[in-house]
Amino acid sequence: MEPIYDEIIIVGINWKNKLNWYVADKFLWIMNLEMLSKEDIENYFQDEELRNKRQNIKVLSEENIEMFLERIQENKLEENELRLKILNRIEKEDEEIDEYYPTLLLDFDNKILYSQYPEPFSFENYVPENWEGKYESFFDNIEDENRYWIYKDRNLLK
Amino acid sequence: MANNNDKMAYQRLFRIQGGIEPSRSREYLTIVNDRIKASIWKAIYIGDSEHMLHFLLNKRLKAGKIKNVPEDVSKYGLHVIEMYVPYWFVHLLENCARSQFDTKEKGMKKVGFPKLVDKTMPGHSYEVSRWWTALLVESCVYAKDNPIKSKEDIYSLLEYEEIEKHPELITPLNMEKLSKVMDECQIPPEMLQKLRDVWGLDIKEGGR
Repeated sequence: MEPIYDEIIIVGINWKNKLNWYVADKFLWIMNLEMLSKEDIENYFQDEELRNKRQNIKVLSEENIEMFLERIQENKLEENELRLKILNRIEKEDEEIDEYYPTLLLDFDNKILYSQYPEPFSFENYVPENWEGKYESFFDNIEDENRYWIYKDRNLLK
Repeated sequence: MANNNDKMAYQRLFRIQGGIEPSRSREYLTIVNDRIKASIWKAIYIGDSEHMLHFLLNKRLKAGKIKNVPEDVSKYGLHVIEMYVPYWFVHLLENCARSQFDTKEKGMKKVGFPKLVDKTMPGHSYEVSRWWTALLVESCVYAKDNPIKSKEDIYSLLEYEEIEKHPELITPLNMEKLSKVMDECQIPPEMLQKLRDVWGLDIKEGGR
């Protein structure tokens, strides 16, 4: 699956001290769907992908993360795969690489959602009750081995 | 958001562009001769002054209040595009807007009605498709690019004179182009009729 700016986003999930990257519809990552209106929830589940992956997971949390991770296995990309995608894009001399910025970090170990989403939607406001949502950069929270945007000491996103 | 007091009034809509990666909005709109020009036809986000202020202070600058805006705010490269539109445009926007999640129906997907986004944020903000961006371009009577280089620039956005006091700034609408764009937006017939009856707009059927 290819990232598309403001539609298909890159999200990091930290669970049991391991970080993995996923590429999926941005609305998949609204953790607490119960905060949406009834009409919005009905519309939400009209989308096949969202329905398949969030069925019976109206509030995504550490209690159902294992089930969710199984469902989104196909959306998982290794660091090398993401790195290659950026390199291929740069090679095409395409100026826009905004879609390769990681947008969200869902830290299930510490119950914090970090958002760097640049457009008007506050993912950080849609977290479960015992979670904290933050709108701030999370680059420094990512270990070197998970920084797919680094290639031979060069930041590909700059 | 729409003001019912004067049907001929103009209202301001805003778009924030620029910023520092990764929280940066692309420069899709430019201002040429006080009119909007779209550099690329994609969906964009626009909002009222309340939303603009919240987004600017809390998302782009993380300042919370204007007084907390840093002295070196110019480093963010932020621009607030200020757009004056007739009240009927705002009325149209509000009444045609769909849920942000109402995107997968083929009809909506084809037409691209505006979407009301993130109700947890103050004010009103909309994602408008490229068709509606074209409608915004044709409806906007005056636009201004406001680079944010100091907190005074933000205060200035809040203190403004109604454009009706400066008629020389108001660009007349091109009804032929407007009719064509409204046809492409597939504005419901009853809304078009209201534009004719209430606002006296000479909207042609089928854009002709």
